Amino acid sequence: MNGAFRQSMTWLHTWSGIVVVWLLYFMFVTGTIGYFDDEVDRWMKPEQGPSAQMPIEAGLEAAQTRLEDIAAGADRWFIYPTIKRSNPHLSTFWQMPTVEGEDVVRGDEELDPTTAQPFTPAARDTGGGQVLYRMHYLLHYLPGRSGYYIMAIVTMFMFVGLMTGVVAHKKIFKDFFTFRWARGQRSWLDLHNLASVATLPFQFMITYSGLLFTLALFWMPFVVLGGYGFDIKRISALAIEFQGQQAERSGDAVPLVRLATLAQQIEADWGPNQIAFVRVEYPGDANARVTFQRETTGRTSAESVLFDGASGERLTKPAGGLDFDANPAFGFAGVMFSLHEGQFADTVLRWVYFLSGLLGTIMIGTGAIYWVEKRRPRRAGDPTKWSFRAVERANVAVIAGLIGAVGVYLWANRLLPVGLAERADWEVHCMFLAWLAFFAHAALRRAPVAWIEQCTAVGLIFLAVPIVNGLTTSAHLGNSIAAGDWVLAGVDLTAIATGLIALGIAHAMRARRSRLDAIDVPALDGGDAQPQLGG
Amino acid sequence: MATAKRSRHSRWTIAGRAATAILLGYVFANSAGLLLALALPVDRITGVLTGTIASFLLWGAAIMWAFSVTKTRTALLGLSSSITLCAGGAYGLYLLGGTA
Repeated sequence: MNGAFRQSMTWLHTWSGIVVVWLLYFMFVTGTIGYFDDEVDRWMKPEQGPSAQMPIEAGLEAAQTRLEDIAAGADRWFIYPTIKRSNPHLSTFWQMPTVEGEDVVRGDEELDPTTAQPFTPAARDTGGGQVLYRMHYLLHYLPGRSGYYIMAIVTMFMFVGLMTGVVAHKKIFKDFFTFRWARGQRSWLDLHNLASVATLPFQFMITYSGLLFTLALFWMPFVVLGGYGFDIKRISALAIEFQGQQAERSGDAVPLVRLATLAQQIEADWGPNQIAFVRVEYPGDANARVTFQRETTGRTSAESVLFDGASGERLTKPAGGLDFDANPAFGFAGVMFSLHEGQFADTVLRWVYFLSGLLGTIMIGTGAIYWVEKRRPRRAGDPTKWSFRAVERANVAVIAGLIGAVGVYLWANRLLPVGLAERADWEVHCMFLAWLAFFAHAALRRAPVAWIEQCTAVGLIFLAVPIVNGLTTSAHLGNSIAAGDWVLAGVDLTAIATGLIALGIAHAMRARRSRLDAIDVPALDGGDAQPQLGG
Repeated sequence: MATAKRSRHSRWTIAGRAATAILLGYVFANSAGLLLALALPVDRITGVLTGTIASFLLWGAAIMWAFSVTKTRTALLGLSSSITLCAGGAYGLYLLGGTA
């Protein structure tokens, strides 16, 4: 690789990264937490106990009874039994027929299988971990799909940043083993390289699969349109090519077969605890269709079995449907999606995902800090531009402040009154108001001081999370550890670890600052342009 | 390094280069993906999906290439002619293949 090429790629790496770096950081923080979305959900609904296994027949019978009560005549029902991590309780979803000019009526519930009724007391109104998870591709407060489009573009920048990053660091593996501690600018670059190289395959996988997630929406229209000769009719018919011909509502009422009976047949084939969900189309109609979907094991296109919902007869798959499993392109996309989501990951692998995401976050954060450190005026008296100061300070509020805001989100879940109207929304408002406060603080303080103070604040916020939890609920560490409820305890313990790390960073920054003050190098002490923050 | 570049190039040069890389790169990714979709010896739906999956890689590569050449004009001409070739090839295959 010649020098000029690498130079231009280094330039491209710098700028494709820095233009979107704060959004990328936001995406990685919320997405990384998203690997534990269900665990955070659980923590944020302290009224609910741990997941209770129950026989599938009992669960389906309870759900069917409830849905026949409240959602008869629906277009479709979904029933999720309690086999999956992401589904600690029997839950349902329904959608009523579309009425022209009206909003679609749909709903969802979590059910107590013994009563076939929603849990009492109901869990507090919370967005849970799902809200954080959704932010990583939708942002928040943005109308319609605009957040999705923004994040898709950001992902493309990330992809270019990754590819050019590999070129830019010619001695990438040698650099990997080089870490110069407490050398200011150089240390940030070393840390950036370390985090990148250690997780490079993960970063490529997560970014490329992230791009593929946007496929369906808008990315490469000409490939799809042109592939079918720009024939819109043909493209509209693709859905049928994918799924095969679907049954239609007949209008004749026939009671739906008992789903529990069908489940027995399925379990005889698949073995126990294999049913991910049951979908019922047109329940109560003569043309009702029941689909049992098998738990995924690393592919999106898992096995399913179709029944006639009126007779209970097992049907062959709809004619003409695409065999997703056998198709190499769909297989590849499926594997990419499933790698991205990591739904199949057990506890250990889930932590590996989480730590890889964390290293990605560090890669992005240190990249942003390095950019600032490199552009810091070298000599005393060099004027600092307002734009430099703005970036430097925004870096503090984004990198440290966002973490603190997530901690405040957890606080809000415990401290907002349970009966508050639009409570789930207010949890999120609290998070963003806190973030705004971090920005205001960073605007008012010199950057090195702001770093130390914000890291300290983040540390205290997170260390207090288990305390706030203990003061407001019985779901605290004393109880959760005693009960061996590691999902619940895990959130509190992770909060403590986060708090300790943040305080450690604040301490290291303070130590380095006083060391620099002791050396008293006037050339480095240019007013606002306080020198490098070490370690 | 970036500082050196910045002093040598005006904002407009950079904006022009970025627009060439991103926009023409996007059209190139679309047309090369389409060519792939039609040229691969697989059924149409598989070809279309393969072309789409590959197109992100092609877009990224096009952006990198467009930034690696010395003159924006080279990037402009290179990408335009690649687009013409791919789109022309795809149209040829479409005509040969009859109904898509």
